[in-house]
Amino acid sequence: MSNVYNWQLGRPMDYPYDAAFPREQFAFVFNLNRCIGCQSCTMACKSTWTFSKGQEYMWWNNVETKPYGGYPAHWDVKTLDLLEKANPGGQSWGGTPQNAKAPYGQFKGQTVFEAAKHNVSPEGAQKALGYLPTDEEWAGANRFEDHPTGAPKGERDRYFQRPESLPQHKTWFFYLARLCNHCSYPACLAACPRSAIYKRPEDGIVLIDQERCRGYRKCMEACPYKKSLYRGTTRTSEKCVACYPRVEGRDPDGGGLPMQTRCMSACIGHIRLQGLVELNADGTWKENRQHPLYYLVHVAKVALPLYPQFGTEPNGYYIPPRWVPLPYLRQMFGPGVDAAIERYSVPDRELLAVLQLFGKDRRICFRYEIKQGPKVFETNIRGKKFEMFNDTVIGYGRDGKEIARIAVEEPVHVRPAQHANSI
Amino acid sequence: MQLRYDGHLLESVVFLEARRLEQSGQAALAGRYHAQRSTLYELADPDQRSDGFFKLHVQWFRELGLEARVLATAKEFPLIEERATSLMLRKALAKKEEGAELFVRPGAKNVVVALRSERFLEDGFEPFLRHEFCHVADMLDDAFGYEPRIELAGAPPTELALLRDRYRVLWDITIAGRLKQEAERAACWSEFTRAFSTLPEERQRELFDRLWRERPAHAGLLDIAKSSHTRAARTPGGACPLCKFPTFDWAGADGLGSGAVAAIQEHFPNWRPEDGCCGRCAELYAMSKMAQPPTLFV
Ligand code: SF4
Ligand code: SF4
Ligand code: SF4
Ligand SMILES: [Zn+2]
Ligand SMILES: [Zn+2]
Repeated sequence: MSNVYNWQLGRPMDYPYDAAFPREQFAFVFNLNRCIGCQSCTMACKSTWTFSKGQEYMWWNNVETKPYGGYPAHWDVKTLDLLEKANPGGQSWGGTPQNAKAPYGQFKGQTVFEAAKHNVSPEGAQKALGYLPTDEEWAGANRFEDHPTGAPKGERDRYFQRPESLPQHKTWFFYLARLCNHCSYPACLAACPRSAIYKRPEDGIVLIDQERCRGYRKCMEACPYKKSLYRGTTRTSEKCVACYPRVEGRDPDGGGLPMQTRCMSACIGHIRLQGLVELNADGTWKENRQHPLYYLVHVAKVALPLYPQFGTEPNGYYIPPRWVPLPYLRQMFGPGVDAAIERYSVPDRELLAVLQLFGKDRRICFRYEIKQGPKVFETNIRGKKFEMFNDTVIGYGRDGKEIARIAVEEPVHVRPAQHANSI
Repeated sequence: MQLRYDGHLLESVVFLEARRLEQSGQAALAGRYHAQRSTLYELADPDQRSDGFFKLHVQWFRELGLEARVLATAKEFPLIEERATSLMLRKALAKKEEGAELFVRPGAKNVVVALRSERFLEDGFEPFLRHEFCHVADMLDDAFGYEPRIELAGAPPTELALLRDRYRVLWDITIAGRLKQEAERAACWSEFTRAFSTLPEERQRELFDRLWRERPAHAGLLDIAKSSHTRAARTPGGACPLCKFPTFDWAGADGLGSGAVAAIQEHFPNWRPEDGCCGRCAELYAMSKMAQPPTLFV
């Protein structure tokens, strides 16, 4: 076991290998307030990578309806449960949020690596606490689609009976889009007895070497996000490859520039922004004020890691859905949730501009600038003053050239009144 | 009788069993399995490789005593050994896919049992197999007189499904009773009371006990299923007799005004108010007797 620093937990933690950070790390931010559950992302991935024999039940990208949905079924509840059993009552957060080294305070509980130490079987300690999903759990990828929660006790199916209003709905669901998080401390990699899984030094993408894999399925058992999947025809495990040819800039469409992955580019709801971020020697994010992902994660702090308490330091970040009860969100995204929701609900000028970058160009954005525009609107949002400026955000690609230019206010075209269907 | 296997089932069962053995201290055995398995990856030709995996797993399926467990249970039913041409084990992905079926072709009677891989590691493995084999033995037994097609003249698909469900419930009771699976009694009873909820409790008890003790043949079971067959009146999720859509929102006789009843009977002369209809239809027909007919009327 090595001792590595996990900034999402605000503390060092145990990990079976020494830390080794890539030159740049593949990362993404999803705005869950915007996902419409259309599964265009899921199909973009499937039609690119998993359309062959033996991959019928394999979805590297999936979108599940929370709280009941999950692929595989109940993956998160099951892992949370294992952790709770390993450390009863101890899975909590403390400390005070600080800089980029501990933005959410400190996690006092145990990660999947730490909890596994006590899970000793005759073959030795597990590398990461986990479980192997059953075929049945993998089979219904979108079960519970659109199932809300919130019926009062004893009143089954009496959902939408009361009017709901923000900040928190009693009857709610939301779509959680997921793929491999290309973790900084991958549990899949830690658990592989064949050392078949590696993290690329150039972009931190985690890949399974198909030549080395011998189908032990230890990665599947260890990954707390259950994003390593077994293929019966090749008898190897497969997982999201982060569309690495696109990220490398080898897709002809990108004109040589790094492109966002298939699932990101295909997103109808414009909920996704994917990029590459630079890291310091201890794995924290290098300050890069004008990088959109750095801004969203470390400046605005609206985007949070998914189940950071698992300890793998996932590189997928989520802007939490603002209508969902906070205790649920705190469990899923950690203690940064309250502030994130508050900031997202009453966005400031810069946040509103940066949010326009989502889904606007398929090339990866490395830097943004904002050109200020006039104030166009003003209101009060739950007691807070909100002003809207028609600023323009400009995104730049790897080569420093402009790739996107979007104004905050959507252009409106008013049809001349002579048309019968003019509104 | 020939034994046949679905390679995917064997692979996952052996894998899970090896994993269980490893966790319970038999690391050497599991290690040997993985070492043998590993070498097959070197086979470049995919067909050769698949073949290699299949053979290896049949071998381990035997070595781990899994085949013996299946065969020992099958042997409890001499009719299967005697009359079935083959017994095939197939992989099921979900609980509801599990079960035995008999496929009859001229000159061949093939038994196919679908099982989840995890089933082999569960406590109830043998009792489950026994139950399924008992169904198969019944189907192979001339005295039972099994007929695969269950029909009811003029019944819509939903009612047929209900009839089949009732038949299955009855058959399951006779099987659990015969196999003396007392542990199943409560589950059988609750299924039975659900499927035959219209019978008075006394009659339910009497019928259930008889099924548990005796062994009515196919025709007898079907008669019982049909005899207490009432029109599928207002079961939650059942089909509305008018629009045929499944509904949880039933409008009963009391909820329908006389105008609506007359309007419905204009279109469905055989329909009686006790049959009920879904809330949407009730609304539609109530409206039809108001000042104006609805614009969309199908
Ligand atoms: S999400 Fe799972 S599969 Fe992906 S890198 Fe992390 S541990 Fe590995
Ligand atoms: S990044 Fe590429 S491989 Fe990964 S889920 Fe998205 S489309 Fe699939
Ligand atoms: S394409 Fe975008 S909006 Fe549609 S389900 Fe996927 S993440 Fe959600
Ligand atoms: Zn049965
Ligand atoms: Zn109807």
